Amino acid sequence: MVEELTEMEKDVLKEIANIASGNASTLLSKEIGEEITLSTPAYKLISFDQFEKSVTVPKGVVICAFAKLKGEVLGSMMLVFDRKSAFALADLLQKKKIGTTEWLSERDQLKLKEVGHLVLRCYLNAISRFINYQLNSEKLRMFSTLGDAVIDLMLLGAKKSDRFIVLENNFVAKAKAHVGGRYVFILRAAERLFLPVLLNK
Amino acid sequence: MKKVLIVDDSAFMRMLLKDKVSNIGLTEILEAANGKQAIEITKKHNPDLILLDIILPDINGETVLSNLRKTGIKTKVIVITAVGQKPVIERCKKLGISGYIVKPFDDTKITNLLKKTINIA
Repeated sequence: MVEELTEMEKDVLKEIANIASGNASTLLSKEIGEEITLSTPAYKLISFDQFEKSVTVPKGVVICAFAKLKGEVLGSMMLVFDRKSAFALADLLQKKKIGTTEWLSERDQLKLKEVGHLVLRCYLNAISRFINYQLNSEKLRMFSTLGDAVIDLMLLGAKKSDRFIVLENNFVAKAKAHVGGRYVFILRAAERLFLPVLLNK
Repeated sequence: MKKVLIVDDSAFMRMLLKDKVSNIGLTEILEAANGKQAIEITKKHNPDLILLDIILPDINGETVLSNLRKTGIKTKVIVITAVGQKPVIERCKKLGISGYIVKPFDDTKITNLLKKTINIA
């Protein structure tokens, strides 16, 4: 059983999520020419059984960019949109009239995947910078699925006894079109082992 | 002795910034973990410099800055945030900031800006 993290440990994790999502939003904002508003990251320490109720994924069909971390820290990063936001984002990214995209073409998916890569890079950079060693991820996957299926994917390979650190925050762009999304960053709670390295830096 | 107010919801970030500030010889350091506290402390203690984050849990840093300026408080402000979006930077500049640093920050850059802003050679 992994005990609750100290306030300072939580704080460091939230700051990593804050920097990563802030930097990612800055880059995304440049891409779409829209200002993006961010919420402060929320922290949760949850068990395998609590995962489904605790991790917020929009109901219905979602568009999702997902990558598992690999190497010294195990976890995953996810960028998730409801369908309407993903379509509006595809329009903005390609400077199309808002409302043009009604389904995601291969090109649209490629553009959204680029956004996923950009966000993933920001998370990996933020973590690497704080803990002072290089992190890698498995190949980023982009897919359209039901919200519940995303939860299953995030738990793939996890054990019933695992606990998870979840950091989530929302972002929204709403000048030309409403694009709302969610950054979700998950670490297996056993990975707190890396935190003392960070705090003693 | 010059007073510095550090506004950031992260205690870890406040600790890092405190370190930078005390390294240049400033020892009177105040802290605020949210926007409301930042406004209250500024009004009560009148710091010489505020290091201000943008993403705060209650009111954002931009609103804090705007609120201070509206009440005639002209304290020097350096914004230190993960938000590097141009419209935000422009609006903060219009509100008269002394610098804008995007996290993760470079130690030398922040030290130099602190020294310049607070007039330490």
